[in-house]
Amino acid sequence: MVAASDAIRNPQQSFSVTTTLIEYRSGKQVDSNVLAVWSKPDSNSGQYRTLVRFTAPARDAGKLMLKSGDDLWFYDPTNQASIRISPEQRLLGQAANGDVVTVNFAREYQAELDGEEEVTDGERKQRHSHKLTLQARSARATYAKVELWLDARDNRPIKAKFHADSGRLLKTAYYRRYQSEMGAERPTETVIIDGLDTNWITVMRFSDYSPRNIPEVWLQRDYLSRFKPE
Amino acid sequence: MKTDSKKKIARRAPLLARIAPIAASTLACIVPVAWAADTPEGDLPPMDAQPSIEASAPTRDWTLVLEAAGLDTKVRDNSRAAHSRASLDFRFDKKLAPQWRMVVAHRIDSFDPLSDSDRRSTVPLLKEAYIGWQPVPEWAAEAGRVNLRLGSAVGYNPTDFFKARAVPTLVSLDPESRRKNRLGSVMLRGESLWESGAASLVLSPRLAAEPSSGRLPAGDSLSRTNGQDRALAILSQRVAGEVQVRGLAYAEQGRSPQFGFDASALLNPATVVYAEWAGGSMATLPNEAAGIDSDTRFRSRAAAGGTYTFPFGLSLTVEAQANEAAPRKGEWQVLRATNPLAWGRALQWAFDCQELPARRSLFVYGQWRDAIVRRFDLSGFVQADEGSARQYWFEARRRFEGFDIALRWQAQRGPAWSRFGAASEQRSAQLIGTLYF
Repeated sequence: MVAASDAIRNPQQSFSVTTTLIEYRSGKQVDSNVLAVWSKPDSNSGQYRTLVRFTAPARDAGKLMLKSGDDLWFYDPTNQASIRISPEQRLLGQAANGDVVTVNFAREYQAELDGEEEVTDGERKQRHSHKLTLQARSARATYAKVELWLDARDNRPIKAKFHADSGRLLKTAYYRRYQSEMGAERPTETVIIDGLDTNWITVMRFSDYSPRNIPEVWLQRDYLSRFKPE
Repeated sequence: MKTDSKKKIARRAPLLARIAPIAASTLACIVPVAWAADTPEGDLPPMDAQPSIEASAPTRDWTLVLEAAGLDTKVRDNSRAAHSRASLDFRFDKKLAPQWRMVVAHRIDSFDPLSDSDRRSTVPLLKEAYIGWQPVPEWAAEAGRVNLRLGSAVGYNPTDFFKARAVPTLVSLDPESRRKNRLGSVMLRGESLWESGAASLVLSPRLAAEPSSGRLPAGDSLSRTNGQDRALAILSQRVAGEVQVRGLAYAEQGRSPQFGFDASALLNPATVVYAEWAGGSMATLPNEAAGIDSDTRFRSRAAAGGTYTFPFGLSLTVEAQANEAAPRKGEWQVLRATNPLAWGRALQWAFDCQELPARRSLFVYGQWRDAIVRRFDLSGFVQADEGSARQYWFEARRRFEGFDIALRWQAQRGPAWSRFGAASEQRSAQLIGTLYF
């Protein structure tokens, strides 16, 4: 069930997608970014290794971020520097919310079915769902526990709550705006609500899904200065 | 030192006195008030919400940044000086064909001393201009002026062998500005890449006469970057999940080979650690500056540190730096007293070559994005050399849609024999506006 929902959230093959992030505070839009994202699933861990290029705003255009597990690199073409950063380090806004989208629940978490629930989805509709509780298999996982609601009819992810080790709610995500992309109905918007400050909402919008041949050599530090896919 | 030129800047009424009220009112306007409304979880943004930027923005081959700055400086003799700066920074990066790529990065700085006695100066810098060829993802080559920047440390990079004389213009003291505004060297570079690493060979020929110390040409003259034949071999490898290492061997005409090692690792989700070392047979720093090799022996330079990110967003870097070729505190004092010419030449050489002139130093750097309020960033560093010489740099930056406004302050103090005590600039404040296209 969880693996099926993973396959709905993200294609199981290498792909590229345009991601638009819109950040709200108290209902008012305060920031937005456009990113070009290349993702490739790791054949061993199942985790996505992701290369992100900032397209807009102009201030950040051309900057790159490489994420391979916890291995994170940031590259700025204006100073030719490939800098290792930690997952907690925030150099460029809300791009780090990408882990809510690319997390592989089936591989990284142990799932347990809690039962069935009526839940309100991201489009304000009632859905009959399976509610699952996911516990991280590794202590290094970003989220220790995830509550996940899947549509009882087709395992579409509806909503997820991400918790820290302490039990504190870190983020709530709604998966919505399902459209046909790369051969499946996928959520093309993820709405992320901060766990501490519910006035802080980030909408991640996905468009232009496209299957890609992503060479392994792209996904390492030394390639960043050469990355020029067009 | 470079800051000596500022003595020529007119002694008009301090610019800061004129720009301070503007800066204060500007910052008051740009720091947004806290959100008052409360949005329950149920209020999700509508699905037709549009971003404030063009969501389908095409990937452009160029970037253009315009910057204007007003600077007020207090120099060592307690006089004040003011000048303004306008800068244009252009970068073009295009694939000419599937295997061919062209990169050009150019900057023009115009300095106005805001006086009748001194003239404006314009400094054009061709930072990069090269053609790249990559027949397959695993093989690549470049020819032209390439900015090859190496090293994982933040404040001092012993393995960044191409840094010497590469910063030709008056730039802010922070590491980021020094990296962004430096010249590439003309070189031929070939690189082989694999899944977890790369090996490259760099050949950088002598194309101009090497300038004598203290007489570096302004601008992007090849004598700054290609005054000697040089070669560099680099091997880079990820050795474990989150550990990356790099080994380097460097040769330069007229000098002994130098070797380098660089490593970085993720300690935990909030901490990155790094270490960088370079060593080889070399003279002491004053003798290197004078071209004397009488006391040559194996000497090391190193930097090691870590960056920790606090839960509230502040990233703090602490870095220890060392240079075995640099004189100790007492040796600097003696050198200044007995041979002021050699003392000044050594400090100038270290400044030009971006070498650490202190035997030991500590660098503490903080970056806080969205500090307290959205789009308001704070950053700053303290460089503390042995012997109580200190350099301070702080910046408050407000990001708007398409432009930034920043207020920057820097100061240098220390005993007269030290690099910071000897610098003509004591402190300065700068108001900067930056437009991004």
